[in-house]
Amino acid sequence: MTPELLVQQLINALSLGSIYALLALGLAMVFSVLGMLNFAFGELVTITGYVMFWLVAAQTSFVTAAVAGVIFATLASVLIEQIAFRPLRRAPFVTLLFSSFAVAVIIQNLIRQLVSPRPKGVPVPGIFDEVWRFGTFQIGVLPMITLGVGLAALGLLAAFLQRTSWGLAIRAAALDFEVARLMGIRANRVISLAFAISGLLAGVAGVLWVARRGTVTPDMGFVPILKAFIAVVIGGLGNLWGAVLGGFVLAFLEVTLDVVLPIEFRPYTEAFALIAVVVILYFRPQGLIAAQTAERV
Amino acid sequence: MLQVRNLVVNYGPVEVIHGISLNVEKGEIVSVLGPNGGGKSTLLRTIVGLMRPQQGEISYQAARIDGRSPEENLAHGIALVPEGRRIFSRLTVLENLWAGAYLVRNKRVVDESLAFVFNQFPILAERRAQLGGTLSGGQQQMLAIGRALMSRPQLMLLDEPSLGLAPILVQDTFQLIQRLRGEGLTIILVEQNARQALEISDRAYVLASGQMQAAGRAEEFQKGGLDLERAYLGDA
Repeated sequence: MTPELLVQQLINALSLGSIYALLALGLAMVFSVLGMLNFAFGELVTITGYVMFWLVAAQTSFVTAAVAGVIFATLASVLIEQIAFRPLRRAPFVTLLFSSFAVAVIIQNLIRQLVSPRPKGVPVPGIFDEVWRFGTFQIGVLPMITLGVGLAALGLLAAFLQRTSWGLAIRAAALDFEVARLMGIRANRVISLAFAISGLLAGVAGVLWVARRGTVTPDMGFVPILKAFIAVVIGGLGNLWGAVLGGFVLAFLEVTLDVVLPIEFRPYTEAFALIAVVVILYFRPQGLIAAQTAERV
Repeated sequence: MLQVRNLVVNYGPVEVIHGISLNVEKGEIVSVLGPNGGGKSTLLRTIVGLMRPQQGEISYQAARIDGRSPEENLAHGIALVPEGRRIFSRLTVLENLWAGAYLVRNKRVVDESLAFVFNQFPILAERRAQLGGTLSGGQQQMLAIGRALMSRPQLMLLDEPSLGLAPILVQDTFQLIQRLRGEGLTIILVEQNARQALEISDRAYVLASGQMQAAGRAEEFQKGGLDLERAYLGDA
């Protein structure tokens, strides 16, 4: 492989990885605080996409539409928690799971009914398709923007989690929810905060996702949540930074396989990636980073 | 300071506490002794509000508190050091302590509390940047108690603080509890280690099979006026 191709693929993997990392972190955020997999998480990406579709169609600039998409995803996430999960706080895990499935189905069908079951185009700014040239190196603008936005979002979130008292509350609640309550951390508040951050991450990832695809469809949330789920499992369920790591690992697997596999196997890249995941989990069933260090007595 | 009257608590569909009463005065150390599964932890968890009683009353400083959340109770000065210490293993020692002071908004007060805890436990000051999970068992116990102290409680509930500690550390822990009482704290101590708990307690209750089997001054249990073993078996 030429160095040029290597650098291009490296940037592709990092840019895809930063989307996966945002998605996985959003899913892990709620899982680690509430112990629940939110299957409506992918629909937050969908909501971002359709808000952008409406606004861009109404002649709003792409950046404004993107910001609005992120805000709507954040609000929707908080609202979904209050409507679909809060009344079920004492219910068994499976009930919450079904509730999140129901939310996903309702949102998908609302969009089918109210907008259209067919794909809708979201025109992206021309600059996204351009390529920067440095001598023999060619680097796509969109992967660089994706990488920049993704890393900035992850960095800001890390600073929020590490440096603020709300961040400390989230991390404490993620480690031991009951003891966090004993510290005076309000259960409802920290859960709302987790859903807000989860929605924000889905929104940012959603913007980047739409910028790659240029279209929105009612079921567009499926692939993002699948990737997020796989990344979270690779990283170690219930571990925030493990989810980020898992996102990048999954992207590197996919991009590497895309390059290495013979052309006739390319359609099966994702299947091979899943096989690699199974192999990882065979050797590290607890994920790359275990959720809790062992209790010492 | 704290009165519990005719408390009935269910764990799921099973009634585990069948109408018990307990009374704690300001400045006392009161032990709740008894066998495993007798309802001791459930009692503490119900007092702080992690569990709701089925029947009965809990009053603290002349106000009803059954039905209050753990957050409200902590704000009113009731802190629980839970069984098994349950420190945040992936937070640093300092972050664990800050979490304990979550409700304290005044930065100066937090720093004062921190200085007090580090003074009580110099080893925690040394290891402040280490992850909680890397501490030894005894250090984790110090951290769990220090974390509870950060909220400046008036009433501290300790659930089996000696569990899993080496004998020398058990001694240290009980001495610390006495020191804390000297600082003005009121303490409810749940213990299986009855003999040592009685040495530092003013009064003790024996809770077995969900009922108070015996209650009295610590000396009465120590001198044999009240039969600890029979109370444990639930037929005192």
